[in-house]
Amino acid sequence: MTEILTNPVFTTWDPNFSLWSNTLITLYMTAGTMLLSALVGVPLGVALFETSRSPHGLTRWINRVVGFAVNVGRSFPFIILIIALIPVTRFVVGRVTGPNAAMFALTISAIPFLARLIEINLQEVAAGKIEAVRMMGATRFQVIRQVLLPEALPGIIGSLTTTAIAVIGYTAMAGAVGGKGLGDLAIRMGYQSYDNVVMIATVVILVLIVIALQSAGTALARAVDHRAVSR
Amino acid sequence: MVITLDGLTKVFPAPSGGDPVVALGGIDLHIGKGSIHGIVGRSGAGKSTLIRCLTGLEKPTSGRVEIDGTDIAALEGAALRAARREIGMVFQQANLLDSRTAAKNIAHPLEIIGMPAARRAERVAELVSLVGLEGRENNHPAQLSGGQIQRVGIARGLAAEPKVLLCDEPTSALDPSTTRQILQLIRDLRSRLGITVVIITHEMSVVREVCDEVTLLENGTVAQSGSLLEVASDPTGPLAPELIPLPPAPTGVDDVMVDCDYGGNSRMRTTQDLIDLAATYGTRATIVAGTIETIAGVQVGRVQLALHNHDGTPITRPGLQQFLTDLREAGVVATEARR
Repeated sequence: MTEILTNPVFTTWDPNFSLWSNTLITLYMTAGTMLLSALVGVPLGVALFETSRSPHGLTRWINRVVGFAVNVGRSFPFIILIIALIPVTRFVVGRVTGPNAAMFALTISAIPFLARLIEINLQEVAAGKIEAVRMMGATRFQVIRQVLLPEALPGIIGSLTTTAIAVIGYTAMAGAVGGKGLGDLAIRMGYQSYDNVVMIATVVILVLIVIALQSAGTALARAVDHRAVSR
Repeated sequence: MVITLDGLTKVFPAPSGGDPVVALGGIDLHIGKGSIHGIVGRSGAGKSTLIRCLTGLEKPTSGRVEIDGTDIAALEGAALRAARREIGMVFQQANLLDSRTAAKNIAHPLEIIGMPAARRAERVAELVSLVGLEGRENNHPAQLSGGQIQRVGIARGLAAEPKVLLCDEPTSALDPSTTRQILQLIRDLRSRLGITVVIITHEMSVVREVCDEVTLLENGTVAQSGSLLEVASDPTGPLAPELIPLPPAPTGVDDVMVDCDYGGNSRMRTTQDLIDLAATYGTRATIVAGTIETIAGVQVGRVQLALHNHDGTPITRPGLQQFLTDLREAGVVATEARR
């Protein structure tokens, strides 16, 4: 028992071995990725939804181009994407290794995934509600701000939660560019060095993070959902 | 005239290989200020297309759609958005936003026209009491009954003080007693605000209860249009049998039967007048079936009378002919009933 507890995975803060610093690195990469991909992915999802409804030739073309880019982005195996992005990462982040470099690739990968989910969330807003507010003389932008986003909010929170959990999974591959984190620790120390203690400890922490994230997401979605009766 | 439709047509392009679909084939219609105008017709008659043209959601193929002197069909962009603010709209499913409370839903059109928050709160309080929703302001739609939801919908439609309130099947999702309350509310609002109301409906009971005028659409054209009294007392028109239906007579009566439509411009004011006329020939008339309505203070009826002499013998052919002639002279549409 003491042998387990004195394992360097628990006793050090050295990012090469420590469970604790790698937990923080995973949380940092996930939070940063979610912030950046929400900033781009939500507006992109709105753009996909808006252009798909339009009868005009030009907007239909924009929809096709954006839709194609989203499909390409989603179909790349993440490990390939990290490596393929290295030149771009060098240009944008300034270096090709470390958590920030990994975060760039994670964000590029999460944006199209999130954008598609947001588009689906918006499609679930009843057309009659949009028409009713257009009839009040609302502009397109007012319809987005006052109808689409608030009415789809519970679903959007669900999409953000789903994306965040997928991102946690992808952070395991961040080790490929020296990004570190729990997944990298499990692969290097647990799998490649046959240390079952490290393997089990990282899995337990990952499960706890996912459960906490999912519960928080579900609770938040429920709190903003006024469709269900809550007298 | 608040609403004038002039040669309104809407043709949808042909679905692959077929002929173009004529949804509206030249509609002329005038609706005066302060009236409640019903538009009825089967599904596919063009009601929905008509309402979409009235709101500028659909561009007509040709013709004018004037609301308060402005041709909606010719407007785009900001001018169209401004014109839409003159039209309040009430929907079958209300189409309230679930994310907003009743008060916030009612305030929504006011936010869009940019009314300051303090003035908005005052106006919302007025509207809440106008439609009888006191105490429910902070409930979300999911916490309200169907009738309360439609009251919110009506208050929202009226919020920006439109000239016209357009109601698309406003009671079709409601039970009969709630329907009556909502129609009563619409009538009240018309007399208090002097607003012009257009009600699209497939329910004749709605027309009977609330409309002053009615237009029947058939295959995208106006089949009949006029005041409720006019159309109800014109038994040759298509609307009268719908508004004043003749229920089936009981079986087992073997007397001679006469169908009578009276009201409006006939000299027979009530069913009793018909019975009294028969009595002058020594004939006993019994009402076996009928519908009697009071429209705009005038009795309009469609009844079936069974006739025999007071001594129990059947009425003679000449006697019957004389009775029919006298009825027709008094402005009643009378025919011997086929059995």
